[in-house]
Amino acid sequence: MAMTLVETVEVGSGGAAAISFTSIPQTGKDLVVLISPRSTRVDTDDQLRITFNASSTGYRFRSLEGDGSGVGASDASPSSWITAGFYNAANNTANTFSNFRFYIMDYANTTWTETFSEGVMENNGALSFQNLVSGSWTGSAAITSIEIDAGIGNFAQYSTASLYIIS
Amino acid sequence: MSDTPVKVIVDLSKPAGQRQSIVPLTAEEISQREADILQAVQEQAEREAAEEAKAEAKASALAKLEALGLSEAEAQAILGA
Repeated sequence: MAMTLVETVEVGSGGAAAISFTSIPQTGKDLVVLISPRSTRVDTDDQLRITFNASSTGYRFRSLEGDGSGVGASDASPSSWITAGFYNAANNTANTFSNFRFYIMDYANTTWTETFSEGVMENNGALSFQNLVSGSWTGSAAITSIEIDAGIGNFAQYSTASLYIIS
Repeated sequence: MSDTPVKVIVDLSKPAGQRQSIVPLTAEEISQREADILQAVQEQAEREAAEEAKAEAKASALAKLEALGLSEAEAQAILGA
């Protein structure tokens, strides 16, 4: 098995509402997206979302969230996206970024796509989150594009996203 | 920040070094984004209200258990606090 970096994006000073990988080569078995985001939203956190092939239908996900003092769980079926979890926003400690790993199994499959993500929001403060999310997309096409949406705010400068192909 | 939201597009059909571009969201994408934001704000408010109600119920249960004669540590042990 090989894990090959395809491209890394670093958001510039103007921020960005989303990062979109298009024309993804159909040469691998699975995909991995590593994301280090921070939001410009004036709040403590924002929600990281992912969609495939510009589709806004057919998603389901279940999440387990911890904040250091308690746990929560949620079920979104159906949904217009898969939420990977909470990540740092503008009211948190300056220059702190979150980290997420999004694993997309068998992305060339034309009947069903399953995903798994894990992420943490470390704030160097009282508030932090840990997120585990299982998701699926019922689109009947191989995944050729992935859009990572910043949620309510924009991705702040120096946020990064890297796409890897597992083959 | 630009007034019009933008997104970074990485077109992997192009050679390395020429793949990334920054484009303004289309009117349709902006409209969808605004609807998504409203939904996210509503879901956050519902989540926070549920968490607050859960915390209040837990505090109420703790007080009632202590009124029955349990120590605070015993009551918290029952509640998993």
